Amino acid sequence: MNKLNGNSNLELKDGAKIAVLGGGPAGSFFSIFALKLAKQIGRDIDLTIYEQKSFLNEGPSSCNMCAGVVSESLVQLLAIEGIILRPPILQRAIDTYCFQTASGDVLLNNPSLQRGIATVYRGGGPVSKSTSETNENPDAGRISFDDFLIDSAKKEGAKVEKIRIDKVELNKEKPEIFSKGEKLSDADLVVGACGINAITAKMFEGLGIGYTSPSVIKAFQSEIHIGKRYVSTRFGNAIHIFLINQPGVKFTAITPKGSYVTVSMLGKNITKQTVVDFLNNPLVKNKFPDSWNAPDAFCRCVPMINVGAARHPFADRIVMIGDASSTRLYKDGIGSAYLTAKAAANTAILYGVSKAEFYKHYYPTCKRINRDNFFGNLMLAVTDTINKTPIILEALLKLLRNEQENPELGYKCSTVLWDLFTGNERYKDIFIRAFNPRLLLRFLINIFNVIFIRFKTMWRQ
Amino acid sequence: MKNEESSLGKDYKDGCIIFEENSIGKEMYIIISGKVKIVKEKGTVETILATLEEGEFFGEMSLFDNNPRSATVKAIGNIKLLEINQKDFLKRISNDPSLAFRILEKMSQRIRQTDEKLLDHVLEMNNLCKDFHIFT
Repeated sequence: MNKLNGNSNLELKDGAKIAVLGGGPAGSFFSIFALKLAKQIGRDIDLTIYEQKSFLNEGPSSCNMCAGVVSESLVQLLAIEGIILRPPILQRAIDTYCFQTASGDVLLNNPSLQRGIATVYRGGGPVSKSTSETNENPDAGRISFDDFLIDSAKKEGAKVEKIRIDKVELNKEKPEIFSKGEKLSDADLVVGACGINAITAKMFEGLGIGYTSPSVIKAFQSEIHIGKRYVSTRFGNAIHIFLINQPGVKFTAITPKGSYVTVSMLGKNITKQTVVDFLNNPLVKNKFPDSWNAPDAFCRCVPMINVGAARHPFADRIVMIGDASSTRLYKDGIGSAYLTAKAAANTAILYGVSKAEFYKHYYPTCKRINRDNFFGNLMLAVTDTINKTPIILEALLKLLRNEQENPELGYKCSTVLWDLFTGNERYKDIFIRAFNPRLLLRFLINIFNVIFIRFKTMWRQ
Repeated sequence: MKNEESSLGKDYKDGCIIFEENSIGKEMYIIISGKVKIVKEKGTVETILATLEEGEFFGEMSLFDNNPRSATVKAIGNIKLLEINQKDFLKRISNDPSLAFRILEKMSQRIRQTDEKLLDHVLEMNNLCKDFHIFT
């Protein structure tokens, strides 16, 4: 039974112990902000990050598996906080989205400065990395975004233990953490930064605090090596979205990254063969070097994507952050990790670690993300409908092409789509801009135009 | 579609002026790589007020007080800067006021440094005045 609930006067005093379970971005951000703030108010905090993985090795076993895209707005926020991201941590800046359709490409260029995105590797890069290319740069070995953040946390004073915590108990005055059946320590605060791929999230569900981990869907990520030169010449600084009908596939995009391209797929029952079929589609194959064939083996993983919010992500002396709590729908998971981690760190250091304080000062951040996801769901339902309706899709691409070729029209539709794909803006703001009467009118005119052209063609036939 | 590999931020070459004293600016800058010097120019004489390195920021004063730039900033070597516009910056501060902590901390440090320099100059002036009196 949980005896800790209901205490509204729990503060972190000098020497207080914080156990952060998980060394991904959320865990590292929490550690950095908590230690900085504690230092600022003259409090001595003993913080340990428990992370079993080393993010320096190649392949999925040392990678926190995601598409690895960060928005420029997050890079700016982190820079203000004193966390400077630069190459080789930032792999490549993306300035264009390229919609690949059977009737040609439509380019969506970054409509303004400061709205860019960049790609990162979460771990040490894909398996079978070309050593000749990594040896070009002496720093190239340390390309992991997660390793960089955990290193920044260490510089702030965090201790890192390569141990997997498999049990947390709440039946004493303070929570206790265990590994392989052995008690390691008690803690004044346990921070669940374990994401949704980990069994650790399930461990928190069994604590009796009412925590339920978020609902998830599976994604399929593959890293295909084609060499730096071909990545540059064939894919440039653009994320390619393929609007092709492949059974069971909802969304496919190719993201250039170093000497690899990342193929991200969403849908039901996606397997390695689905990826190979996609790569063999003539429209896709055309983007790859001549006489290129889909490889038999490539680095791949099946990460979970958070599509709902966790319930009760906090209790006395316990707080869940990042993917284990609330995250933005399909976008900017690292940005959500930053927001929830910072709110939790500020609450713990400045107000206390009771359920009441987390409710008052931490939960509003989660609620803001969850409310925004409501608008995200609406926007994605609209784009899904457009994608499934050829006439409307053609009208949208026409409108987009028109805007890109005639800047004097303004980039109303382009900015809406750009922000929707990049995660640079809140879904609510994008929603308000998308339902601008002028933009809707132009869209309707384009729909009628497409219908008219189709009728004309049919009439002639 | 650009093919050359690029990263976020804007590149400036050695000696390039990022902004000039008395110009109107609505951006602050964070140094991603390289160094900049903050200078005051009177005629042909250039006085270096400070040199800033990676991770440091400048241009934030105009974001808060809307006044023209107080000094000129020049690149030392090739540099990369991250630019943040006033509206975005103020939006972010209103969403998360604690974001201003580091800026306030840096601004406080700069005021302290200026105080120390001012004190040194006043003491130097006093000594010069004393010497002048003894001499006369």
